[in-house]
Amino acid sequence: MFSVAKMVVVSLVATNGIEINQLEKQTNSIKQENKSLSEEISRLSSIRRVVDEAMKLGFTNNSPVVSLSQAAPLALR
Amino acid sequence: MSSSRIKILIINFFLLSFIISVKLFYWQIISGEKLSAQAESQYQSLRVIPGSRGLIHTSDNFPIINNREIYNLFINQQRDYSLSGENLDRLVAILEPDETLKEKMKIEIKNKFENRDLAWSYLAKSIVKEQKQSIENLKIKGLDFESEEKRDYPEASMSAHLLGFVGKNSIGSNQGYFGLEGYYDRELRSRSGTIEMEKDAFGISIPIGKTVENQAIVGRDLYLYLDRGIQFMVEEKLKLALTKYGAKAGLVVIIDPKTGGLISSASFPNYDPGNYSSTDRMLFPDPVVSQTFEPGSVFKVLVMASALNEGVIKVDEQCSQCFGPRVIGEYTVRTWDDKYHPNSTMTEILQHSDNIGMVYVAEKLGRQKLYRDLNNFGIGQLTNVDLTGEINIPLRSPEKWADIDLATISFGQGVAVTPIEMVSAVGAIANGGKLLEPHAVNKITDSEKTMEIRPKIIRQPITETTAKVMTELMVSATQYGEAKWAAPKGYRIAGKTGTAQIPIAGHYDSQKTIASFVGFAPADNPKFVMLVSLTEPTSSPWGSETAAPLWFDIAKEIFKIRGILPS
Repeated sequence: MFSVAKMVVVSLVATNGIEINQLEKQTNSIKQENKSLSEEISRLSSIRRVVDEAMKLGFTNNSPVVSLSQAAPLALR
Repeated sequence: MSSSRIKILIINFFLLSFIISVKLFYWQIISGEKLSAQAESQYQSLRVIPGSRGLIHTSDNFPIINNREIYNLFINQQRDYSLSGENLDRLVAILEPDETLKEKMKIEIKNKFENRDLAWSYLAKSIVKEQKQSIENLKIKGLDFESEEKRDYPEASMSAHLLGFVGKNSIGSNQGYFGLEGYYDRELRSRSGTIEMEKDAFGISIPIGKTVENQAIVGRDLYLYLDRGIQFMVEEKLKLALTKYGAKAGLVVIIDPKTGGLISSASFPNYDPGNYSSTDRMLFPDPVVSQTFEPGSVFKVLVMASALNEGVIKVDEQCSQCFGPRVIGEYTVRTWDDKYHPNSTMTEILQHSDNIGMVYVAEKLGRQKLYRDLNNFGIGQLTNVDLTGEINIPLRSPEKWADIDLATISFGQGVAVTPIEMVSAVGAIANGGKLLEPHAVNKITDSEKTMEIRPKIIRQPITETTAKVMTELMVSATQYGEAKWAAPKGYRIAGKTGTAQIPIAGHYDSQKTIASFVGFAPADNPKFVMLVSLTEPTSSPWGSETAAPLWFDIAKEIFKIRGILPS
């Protein structure tokens, strides 16, 4: 009984070589793409690039922060 | 059957057996290995699984060092290969952007294609994915690519000294040099793995066949305390300051006093780690850990803290010798501006950065106690920061100190420290008297576990009470000292300026100085300790006019970035 079951499983799996090969190739290609995209994200999100792009779009450095050390004036009447 | 015919048959039989035995001997013994290998190559496939070197991330999880796939292009002359004149022009256009070098490259490639003696030869190394795709589109026969990983620096030369670089060692393997790459080379290093599988006649893997797998070892990733935003800002400001003050070199180190974590570490001139081979080797060591300097007046805070901790002086005690220059042996000790402040208190001595006052403090402390207390602050010792190339210059034994040595050490001359040593020692004042080991790496991870590097207290050189008193003295030195004009309003900053003369050829050069400022903020709950040091500024030799404004300028930005409000 066990031998018959084993034969069935082996014959089923043995024919899946092509499919496994294709899946392996697909996995590798997705891994490669994932890696490339991670590199791209790092390159695009570098501070130097973001600053350069922001300058091109007309952004400027923020003005100095002013801290008020006393209570804000109130209208008396 | 006649006996002669039987004999012939027997002889033939033995002859045949002998031939078969010889052939079997040849197949099994002489060519056995070769034939087994040939057979294996027919039914077994070997796949190499590359192991990637570990990445290095900043505190915002950004990979400041990444791995990038690059390709080497070669002609595989074991295959059919050919190159038309038109394709040669296109190939060179892809590989060589420099017009002046194109002709030379064309000749080289042509020669390689015509040389039939080589099995294979490289046409170009380290080409990127886009170039590879363009070359593949040309469909040139016989060209092949091999891929390898190369370190990629998305933030270019940011933190170059801190990070180090990866080069080749004597056996041609990748090895980290300098900075973190050097220190953590074992953790970051990877090893390629293999999978051997049985395949069928069409080269397709047999799922139920024998599989032998050697797993690839992926390098561990490092996560730093380094704040990328602050590091960028610091480098920008330091670059501008070097031009503004005409300084030859400069550095900024910022640590978190509660963890010892390196928030920022910048020094110029630096180099591009992606192109280290074309850099002057002298630039590779990180000045923050590999260069010493005479600290000058910034050192006074350590001497004063020691004296207060030993109880040999009191804050409101008046200096009885501050009325004029001091003659010690054959030397005369003066103040930096030759102005004297009789009966100065300890607070005023720091405010005026009074050398005579510091000699008074050191003499009260004595050689043995000063030596012991400075050692307790880590002066003369390695901090054990996790960076390659840290050096230390041990303090000379106090028995060998002449009277003038005790005097000069009190104001930071005649003693040499590394920037990391100095900032760590001041960090102890900011951290309630506890000296921490500085660290660049916060945690190390791999696919299975994360190892956190916890803050490590080395010792407590001063009490918490002394640390509080010393903080007030440093706040007062910032508010009323020489650099008060540059200090941001509304913040309590504990700091001290320094202008040290540089020893050159056995004497101190009066024109060349190292200008520095060390301090921490906010004074009541310090979030950072920072040292700024500028080498040979030409616009002004004084720390109060060069390093201090830069320190305050950087501090103002950190207040904004970290949301630190005025007190």
